[in-house]
Amino acid sequence: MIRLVGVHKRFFPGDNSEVYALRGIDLQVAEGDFVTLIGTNGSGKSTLLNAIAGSFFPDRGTITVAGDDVTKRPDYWRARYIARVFQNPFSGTAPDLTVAENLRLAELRGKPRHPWGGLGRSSRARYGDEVKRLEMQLEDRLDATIGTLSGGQRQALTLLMAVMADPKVLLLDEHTAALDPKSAAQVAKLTVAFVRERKLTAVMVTHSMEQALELGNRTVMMVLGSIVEDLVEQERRRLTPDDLVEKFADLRKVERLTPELREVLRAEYR
Amino acid sequence: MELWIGALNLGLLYAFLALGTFVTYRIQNLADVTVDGSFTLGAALAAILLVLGVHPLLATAAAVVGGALAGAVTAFLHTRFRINALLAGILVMTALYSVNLHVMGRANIPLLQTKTVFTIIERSVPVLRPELRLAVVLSSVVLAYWAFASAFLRTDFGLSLRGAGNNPVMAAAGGVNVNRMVLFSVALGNGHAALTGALVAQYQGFADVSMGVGTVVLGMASVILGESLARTPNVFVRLLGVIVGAIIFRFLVALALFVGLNPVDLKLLTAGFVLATLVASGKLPSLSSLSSRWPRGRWAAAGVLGLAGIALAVWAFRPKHEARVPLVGIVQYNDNPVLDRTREAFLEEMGRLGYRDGVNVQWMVHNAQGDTPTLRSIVDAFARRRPDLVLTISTPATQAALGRLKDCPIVFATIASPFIIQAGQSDTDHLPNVTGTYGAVPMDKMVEVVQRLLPRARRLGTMWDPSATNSAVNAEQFIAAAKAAGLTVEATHVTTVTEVQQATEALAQKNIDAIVLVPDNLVFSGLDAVLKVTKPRKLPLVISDQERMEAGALAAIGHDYALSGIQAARIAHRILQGESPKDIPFEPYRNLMIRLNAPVAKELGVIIAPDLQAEADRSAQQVAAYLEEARRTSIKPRRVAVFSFSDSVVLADSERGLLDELRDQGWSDREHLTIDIKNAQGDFATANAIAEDIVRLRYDFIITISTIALQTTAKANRSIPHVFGTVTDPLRAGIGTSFTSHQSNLTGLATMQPVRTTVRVIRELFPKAKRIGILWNPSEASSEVCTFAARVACKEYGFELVELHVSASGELVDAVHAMLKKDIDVFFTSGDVTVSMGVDTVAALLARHNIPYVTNAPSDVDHGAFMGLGANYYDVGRVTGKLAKRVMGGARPEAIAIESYTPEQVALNLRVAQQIGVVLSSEFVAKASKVVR
Repeated sequence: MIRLVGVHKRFFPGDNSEVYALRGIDLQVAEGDFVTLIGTNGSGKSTLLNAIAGSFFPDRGTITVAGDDVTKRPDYWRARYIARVFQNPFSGTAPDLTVAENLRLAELRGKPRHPWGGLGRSSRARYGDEVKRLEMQLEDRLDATIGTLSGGQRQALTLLMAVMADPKVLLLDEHTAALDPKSAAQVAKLTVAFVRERKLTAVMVTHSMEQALELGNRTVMMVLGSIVEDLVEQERRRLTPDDLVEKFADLRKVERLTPELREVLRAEYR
Repeated sequence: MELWIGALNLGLLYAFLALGTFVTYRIQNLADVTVDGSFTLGAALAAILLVLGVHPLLATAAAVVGGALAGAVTAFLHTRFRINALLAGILVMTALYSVNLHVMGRANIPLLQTKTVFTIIERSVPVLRPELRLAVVLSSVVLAYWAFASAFLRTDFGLSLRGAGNNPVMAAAGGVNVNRMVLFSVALGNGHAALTGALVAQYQGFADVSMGVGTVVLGMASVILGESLARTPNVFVRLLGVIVGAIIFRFLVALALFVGLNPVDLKLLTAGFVLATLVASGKLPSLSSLSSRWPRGRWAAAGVLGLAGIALAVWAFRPKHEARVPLVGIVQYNDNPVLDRTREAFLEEMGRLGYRDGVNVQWMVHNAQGDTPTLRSIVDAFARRRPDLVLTISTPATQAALGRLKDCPIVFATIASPFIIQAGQSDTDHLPNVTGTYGAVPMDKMVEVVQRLLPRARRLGTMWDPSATNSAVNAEQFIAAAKAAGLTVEATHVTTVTEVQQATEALAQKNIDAIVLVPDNLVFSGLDAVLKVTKPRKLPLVISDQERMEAGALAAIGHDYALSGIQAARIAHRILQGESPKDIPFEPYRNLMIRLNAPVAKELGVIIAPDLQAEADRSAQQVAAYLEEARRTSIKPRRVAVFSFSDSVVLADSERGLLDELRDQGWSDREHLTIDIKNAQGDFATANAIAEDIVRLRYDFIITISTIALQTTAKANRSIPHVFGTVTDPLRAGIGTSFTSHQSNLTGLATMQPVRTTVRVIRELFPKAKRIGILWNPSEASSEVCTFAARVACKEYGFELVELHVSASGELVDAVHAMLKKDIDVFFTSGDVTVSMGVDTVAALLARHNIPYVTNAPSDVDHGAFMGLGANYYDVGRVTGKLAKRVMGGARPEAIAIESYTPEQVALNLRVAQQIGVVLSSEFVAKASKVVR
């Protein structure tokens, strides 16, 4: 469903703030896979997600989604396949529009936006039902502006909006990290349910080792713009969160080395 | 009513701008400055197409398309090259300035004679009064558009548009091409601005290249205002709020005008008002219609409306005059004929002004019979009865009243100087409850007349009452004047009337050639006694009271105190009408009268020189004419609006000339004119509002200064007689097809810069010169006219005209340098404001290269120009005033052809001439009205 081949990305090339964010990523995600993506800060997890979503174009390499080469397609084009939920609950909704209007916008993903038609009575009834499932007391607030909702309510709504128009791929960027524990649990629950029901291919960035192992069927670990671990099946099942933490501890040692030394070590140990 | 309907109509036109601003500013969160340019672009496109005969609706549609394209360019710069939206807007706005000029081909296109959307409305809806009809039509159109626009914003496309603006990240993730939405929004916003521009141009009757200035603020103010009224997610309500905001904004401007606020403060008020609304509504918490029924935005709006309401209420319930009959006290010092005549003339004039004793006024007339304690008790009696006004005739009466009546209006008459009794420091700076009319007989004039009558006279005798302040001052001045003329004066004092005869005899024995009497109540009461002594001795007597000459004086130099009474009556009338004495300046008498007694002269063997006789006759005629007119003129006061566009030097000069002409010889007083001066401070919207206000207030006459004042007023008013001046080319301004065929309610002056004369003079001064360089800004209408004239004149006088353009004063230095490279012999600028802003720099630069700098503004020689040959705008104002007098006298403007009038005057800077090596003939220098050495 998603295929990345040799994807490189440098931000601010030539500048002294240059960041080599993606260093030759090769990744294949099969249809129906639910990948959890972990890594240290600045390892390139979110950048990888953004590369798939089309927030920027890679310097080198190709990206294929659902069989289409989307390497040079802008984000709004890819939106027909890809839906996203951001870490910040404010990012996924339009605060001055009402709940119903936001849902209508979400429903238009991948469809033409005509200057006629619009929010009808029947779709409102449908939104009512959909929203009820979120168990966030949103069913009576279809006409409230998003700005009046809590972060948990907004994030749950964002999730619903992401899956509403049946995308092929769902990209989740630490989407429970900024929520209170109760809302986080509810959103995580909904995520699993939606992915299963709608047979979505999902990639989720997380900082929680428990969540990384608990959710999904595959865990990918990134360090310094490269994928260092790709855990599936038995290997993944054997691991505990503590094992992952240990792996990270090892990786942090590596990060402290100078880039040159790192390259030498890497060549030697390969 | 017209003012409010006018405000509503203008508000409805600006509603489109507000809706457009809503899209850019609210939906896309962009402060789009492009609208300043696209507003004008809309006006320019519509105007030029209308002039070309295109159907108004089509022309307006083309304007919308043009504006939208301009917006699209801004959006493209912003989204494609990631240029800050504000900066992109500024870039496009700046570029549009040139584009607009190219579109229009000149700075101002009149549309008065052109078919516009409004003439179509007028024709197709033949019911109701015009403004009301327009209001009804515009309201329906705007309401229909409101429904359409709101519905549009609720469609899937509209929703995406709003989503893209509200959260671009989310919109892009959801499949919205955000850049395209921004492009569409900014195009939409500018299309609306252009629509308003096109409509406003058609509404006000002209398009001007600078009419868009401040559009962005207007739009935002309307949106902010509207939002503070309606804070809801409902698009229908929000857009309605924005439309109402645009209308309220115009209403506030109208209200400010209505309560008589100075237009100068209007912009300050606008800024303060918008700021207040922003601060109040910007602090809004994330709003919820559930959490509070009255969010703070609504409080802010309620507050603003409340304040406006209070202002209106204060105005509506301002104290009015009670119906009670006003009580007027009159006090005079004694039975002196001068004072009697003043009183009689006062009462007579009050009668002409419509006052009837016991009906609408109650008189209390008192005479102190020359007794100071009596005077005191009369004033005390006045103080008890609290009159509405007291007229004091003579200096002692005035002095007594000044001390006692501190809060009652006092009008004085027939006093020599209010300053020596400390009624004030100057005509305008005086005690708040005191005003009046005064005048001393000029003693130097008196001495002059004596010398002309009696060339051999060496010794003069005089007497006065030293206890009368006035008399002492007069006498002092007389003695000084006589000494200055080489005469000696024998003086003596008198303290009672009985002493007068004795004092005269004493003087007569001192070998004097004549007796001259300065104004003095006591001496003139005993004038018969004086004559008893002088007559038998054939001693010439010259007096300062022309009323008494017949008694046997040789000559009298003085005022006709009937005039004093008349002037005082008019001042009293103004005060009884509600004016404060504080605001009424002291009025000096207007006519000095010289009277010569021919029989007495014959008797004395004195030969009256013809020129003196002529002067005397002239003065008598003037006074007679004044009195005649006073008796003839209608008593109904008439109101004149004098409307000038800005405070520039030229307009201010012209205004000064106009007012001097109207007030000259008391003409405006005599005609009972109230002159109201209005100034738009260079702002087009204010100019429109003022023009509408003038029509609303139903002025009797309108005088405009400047082209814009003419255009706005000509459009707003087609019935009130209107005289214009200080307009370069009225036909280009669109008020007629020829000087004789013009809009029927107006006429005026066309004042061209004397370009041809200037070029001719240059030819005379520089016979060998070949090339004249001219620098001008093509966006200035009058500059363009002058340059065209210069092209023709240069051909005629065998010059090559080298032209260069400037568009801002910052480019001047470079432009002059470029010009210097073109081998010019003379540098010339004419009527160009841009160049005139840097005239010092330009002049210095040219002087350094020994190039003579000639302009069409005489004042430029003060700034280093070599020669300024231009119109004297003070004179233009004067002649405008003369024309206005004709119209006010009853002439029909329709029948008066527009007059071309350019009073030429030359100013020279000889210092510069010497520096650049130009030798001028002394005759030429002598002709100059102004020379800097």
